[in-house]
Amino acid sequence: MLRHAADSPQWKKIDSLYPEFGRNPENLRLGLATDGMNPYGNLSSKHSLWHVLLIIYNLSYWLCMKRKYIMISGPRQLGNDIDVYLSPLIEYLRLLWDEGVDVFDAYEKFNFNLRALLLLTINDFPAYGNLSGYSVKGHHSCPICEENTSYHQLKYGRKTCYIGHRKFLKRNHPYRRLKKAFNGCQEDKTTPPPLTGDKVYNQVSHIELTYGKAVKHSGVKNIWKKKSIFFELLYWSKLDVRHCIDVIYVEKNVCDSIIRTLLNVKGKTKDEINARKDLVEMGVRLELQPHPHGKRTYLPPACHTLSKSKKISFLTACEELRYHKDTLQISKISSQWKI
Amino acid sequence: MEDLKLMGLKSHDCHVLMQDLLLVAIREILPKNVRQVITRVCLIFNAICRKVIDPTTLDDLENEAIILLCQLEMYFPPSFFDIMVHLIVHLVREIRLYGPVFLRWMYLIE
Repeated sequence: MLRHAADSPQWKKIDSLYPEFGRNPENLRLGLATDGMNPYGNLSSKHSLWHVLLIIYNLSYWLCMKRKYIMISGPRQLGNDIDVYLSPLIEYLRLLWDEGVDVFDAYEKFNFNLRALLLLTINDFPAYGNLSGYSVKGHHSCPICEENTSYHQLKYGRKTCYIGHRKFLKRNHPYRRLKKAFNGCQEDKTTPPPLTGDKVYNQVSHIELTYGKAVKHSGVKNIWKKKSIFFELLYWSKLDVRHCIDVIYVEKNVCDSIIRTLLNVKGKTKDEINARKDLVEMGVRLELQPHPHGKRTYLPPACHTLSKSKKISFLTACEELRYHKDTLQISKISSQWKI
Repeated sequence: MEDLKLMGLKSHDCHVLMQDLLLVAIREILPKNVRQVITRVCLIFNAICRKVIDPTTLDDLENEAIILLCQLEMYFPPSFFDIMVHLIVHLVREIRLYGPVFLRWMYLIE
């Protein structure tokens, strides 16, 4: 059963790679959570504040999430320069790994040598790009698939979409042979192998970057923007997943897209006239193509389109359920959202 | 209610919507296939956010996530698939290597 990070394969791998570190339960394993936030809310976007939290994973899980933290503040968005601000922290982490520091044990009344290892970082997706040095924009924006990211440039929507998930399916799955329902052809690509730390290190080790605003980019395009400062920690390239994506961030974005598409919120929905034109361009689901009607254009309803009465019933259901949840106190919901 | 919008969702609101409310709210109003897909999205996130995870079920969960994305591709327009939707594929891998996600989320900060 996986209940704690200590049950995970990564933890055991570290134990076997560095046996003298793994043997001592006093050695710390840390997680680093960072995210940008705005100290003035929506009033001023000139300042950005980055908090950096260290989580101690040795503690049992109910203590794990109480943490000590430091803050980084800067006048503007930091981008890749965040490494400069993180360098003192990394220096300490190196010291903690290479030599360790002497710490007094107040319970047993003796000094012992404390060492620490940074296990992972937690961040949302834009911060992922800043910390790891991978460019999370453009065509190959998935840092795990890297060059094997399958993308499709939408002509009318002027966006890149990441479709083609059939390559992750098993070889003999029936979906691989369907044409019309997907993009018009069969899929024969296979699942790309995951990217290891050593491979990343080889790719980034030669990149030299000067920090600051006045950087002229060289002509060579590289999807890795910098050698992340975390590679100064000697064990960093041995870890399987170095940066974790915040699940809540993904959940929020997926939830937003679904709800906006279902409710057809103007300007936010993913299903508008350009999306329909792109479908025609791709040559699939032709029954959904827009029909011009004089000055207006008629979009035939797709399978997820809701009529007005259904939208109302959806929203009332949401509101009633929220009310019941509040009274039952199963879960705390902030009452800020409006229907 | 007048302009039929759901406004000002914070990330925890979304979490609750995904975990419980959406499942019930879409009943009866969508055709069966779309309803099943959205239910699957909710169930996947529900399974991912569990506090205790049996490692033997992770393979099934990963396959489920992939099939779910394929089904989404069948029903939703291509512009729906931004990078966030794609990242669902990789979430299960992180659980396999690092354990449950509640040790890694950032509610307190937000």
